[in-house]
Amino acid sequence: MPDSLDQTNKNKKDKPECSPKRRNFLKQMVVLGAGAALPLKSSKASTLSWEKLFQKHYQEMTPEDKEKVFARIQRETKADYGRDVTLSDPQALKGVKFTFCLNLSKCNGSRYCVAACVKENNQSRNPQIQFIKVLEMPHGTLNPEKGNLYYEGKSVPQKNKFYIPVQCNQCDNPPCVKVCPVKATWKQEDGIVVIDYDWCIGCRYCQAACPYEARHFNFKTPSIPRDEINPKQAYLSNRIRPKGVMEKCFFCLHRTREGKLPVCLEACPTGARKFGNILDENSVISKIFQRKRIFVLKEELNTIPRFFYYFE
Amino acid sequence: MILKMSPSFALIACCLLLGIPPKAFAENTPQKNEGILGKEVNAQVIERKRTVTVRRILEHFPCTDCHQKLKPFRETVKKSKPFGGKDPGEMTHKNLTFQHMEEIRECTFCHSIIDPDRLHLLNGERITFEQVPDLCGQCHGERFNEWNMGLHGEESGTWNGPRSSLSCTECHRPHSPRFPKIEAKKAPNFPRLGIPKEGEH
Repeated sequence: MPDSLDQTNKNKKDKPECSPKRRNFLKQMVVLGAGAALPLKSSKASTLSWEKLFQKHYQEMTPEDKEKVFARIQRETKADYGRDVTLSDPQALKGVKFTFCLNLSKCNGSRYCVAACVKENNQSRNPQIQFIKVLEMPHGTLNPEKGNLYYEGKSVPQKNKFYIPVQCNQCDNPPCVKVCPVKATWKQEDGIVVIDYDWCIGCRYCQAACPYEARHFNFKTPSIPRDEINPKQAYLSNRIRPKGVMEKCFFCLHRTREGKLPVCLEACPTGARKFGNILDENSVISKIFQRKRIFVLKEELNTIPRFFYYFE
Repeated sequence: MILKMSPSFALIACCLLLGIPPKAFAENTPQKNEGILGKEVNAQVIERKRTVTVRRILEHFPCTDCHQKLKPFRETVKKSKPFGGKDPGEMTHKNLTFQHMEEIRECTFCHSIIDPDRLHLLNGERITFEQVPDLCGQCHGERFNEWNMGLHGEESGTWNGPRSSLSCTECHRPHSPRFPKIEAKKAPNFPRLGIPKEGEH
């Protein structure tokens, strides 16, 4: 017994002798690895920079932090896309709940809204990302699975079809926000669910959670022709997204928080889309609520969408 | 042309002509295309709760240049034939197809007999072309009310402040008001993930 005890004691004594070497080695490796992975001057925005690595969450940023971050994004956009852009930061409005209504009797499936949205919101052309999906539906069903997303539209509307544009419903009970492990997406006061693209880790949980297929993942760095970049950008909305993050419709918050209308509404040739503040009883939306039979998609999931449809 | 007109028409015409040169009153093409969108002419505004924008310009205005007085048209025009003269090359309104209440086919149903530069309501009141919602609203009352509230039709401006909506004839062709079929933008090319194509599962 004493012999064995001695042996164990000896082993314990031996360990501290060898571990410092190992620790030093590991330290060296960490320093070397970090040095290789994080060059001080990054030429592409897609590569990680020190500034980006230590950037705070949007909700924790002070105005000075924001200034620095916006300057960095502008610099990187200039380097990557060769375009001078302005970055704004419109705050959520108080006493406003943004609501969208869409008249399905009027929608003719022309996809004008999609084209306008892609242009306004700097969405990637290749690989293609579109916030709005227009489904061509046969009469007699509202099941999105019966819809056809890839219809050819030589002359729309087709006989015995109707069209449902689906985009982010800005739910009041958003499943995408619940599943985010890093709180990179959250609901703001005026009802818009936003994403901090720099905080998103790209796990795509939210994409799986969203029942409306509203969220899209940037598998590649977005490719946008230089001339087609919209230079009026906002941090939480239409700035060019980095690679490996989620994106989705944000009700054009850089426009709507300044009083303008969403760009899909302005592009609609039939006037099927209506946008406004549900808390204002004189707004168009309130009048629709009073007069029309509105419904939402997948009501049984209790997501409580802010995007309503109606037939006349 | 302007010299011939009475002062009130001269004023309207000046407003109309200020922004852009007169554009063809295209009857058979969709009213809304991207080329028109950028050029907005606030020609005449009907004073309601909202402003009503008139963006297009009538090609043959003022009508009194040719028509001193309108004749009832019913006898001379047969169904499914264009209005105007017999030779298509000489016709002034050659693009005009009429697909609205075809049993009636009567110009003077809307156009004033006494003053061809005006429209007239059923009660005999004469209105300008910019006040055409009042004319359409006589039959399409429900639509008219919805349009007045902002529920019908395209709008621009702001969601909380002043809005401007378009007059009826900005989107609907006046003589065949049904909204035309248009060509849709390209289908997306992203992979088919959740939603299968028709016939697939």
